[in-house]
Amino acid sequence: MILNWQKLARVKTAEVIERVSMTADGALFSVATSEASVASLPFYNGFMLVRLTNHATLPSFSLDFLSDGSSFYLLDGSPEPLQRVAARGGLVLNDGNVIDYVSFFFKYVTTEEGDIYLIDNPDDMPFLDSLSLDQQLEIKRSHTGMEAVYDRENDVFLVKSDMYFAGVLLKATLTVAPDGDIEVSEHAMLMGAGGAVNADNTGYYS
Amino acid sequence: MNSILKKLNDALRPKLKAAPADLRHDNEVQILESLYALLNTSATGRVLLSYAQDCGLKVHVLRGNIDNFGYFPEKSTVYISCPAGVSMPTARAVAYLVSGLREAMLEGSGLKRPSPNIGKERFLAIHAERDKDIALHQVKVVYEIHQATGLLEIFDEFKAIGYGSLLEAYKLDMAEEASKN
Repeated sequence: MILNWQKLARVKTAEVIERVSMTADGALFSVATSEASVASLPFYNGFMLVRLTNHATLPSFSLDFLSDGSSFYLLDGSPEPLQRVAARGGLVLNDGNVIDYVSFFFKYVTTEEGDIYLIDNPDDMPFLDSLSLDQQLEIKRSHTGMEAVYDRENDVFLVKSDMYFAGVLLKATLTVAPDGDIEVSEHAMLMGAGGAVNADNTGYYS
Repeated sequence: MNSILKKLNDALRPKLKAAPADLRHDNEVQILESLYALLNTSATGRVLLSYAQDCGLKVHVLRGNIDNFGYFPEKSTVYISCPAGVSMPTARAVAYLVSGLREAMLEGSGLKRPSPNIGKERFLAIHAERDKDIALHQVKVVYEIHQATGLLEIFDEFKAIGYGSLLEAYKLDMAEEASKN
């Protein structure tokens, strides 16, 4: 998903900063040195992604929020801001936007065990260049792109994706509820924590 | 693997609590203690910490994406970010804290970020010099922490933010130095 960022006018930026500045560290942003941009997201209705950037810091410092113009939910690495928007009815999922939603979710949500990467393109994997050429080739060979289907019986979306988490690369199924809750289940491990590749992709590697 | 997935799934669906009132991280104290403890295992890290202490530099942790950090000269404050809910920073946060502290040190030493009206060549030269200096401090600290603690994760995280080749080059340099002695 490519975000189409639009810079906000100074007056609008000032309004955003005024809202955020009510908090203890809000003074980190000032109208003189900061700017705000917004991007719409295909799975949200009435909520936009807002990025506030202070250019007076070295390097420039940004915080991202989900906002309907009056409430600002800081994307703080936890699922909570996304849950809050969903609880307010802002999330509208369908089989055309659910892949964008899970990609966005894992871009902004992390856990104590570290980042979670959905692998759409194996060349973008963060650890790829630390593997041997054989391992890299094997991972690319077994890679399949992300796919989404709607499970009418259970009223959930099923997204299949390669996923990297806690040093393990696996083929996973993400069960996405209409309220945005995501549950991950594994159906084949592609690479264990030591970097050993499951070459026959049987799913029995551990 | 099942236990990791269970932990992951629990983390992905927390019970919704009251919305936090500000941007500051709830576990700022524990996160900074862990980061300072790691920095203290490195000679280069100790120099940066000592500079911060001598100059009254403040460091704060905000809730947010780990890749957000910066030094705010006007407030003499380095900001780093950590995801809400965590109490242990990722090893990557060490590299970002080093970057923020070194930015502050360079500003204090007179090698300030250049103004854009000093001419393109000079502007680029100063920028490049500062960026090289900061990257070198980051790789030194990462290497020294690994030497002192054996922490492999710090190498992985440093590679994950795009400094894999720099780290390999620095390791080769250090191996060459060691072979001379």
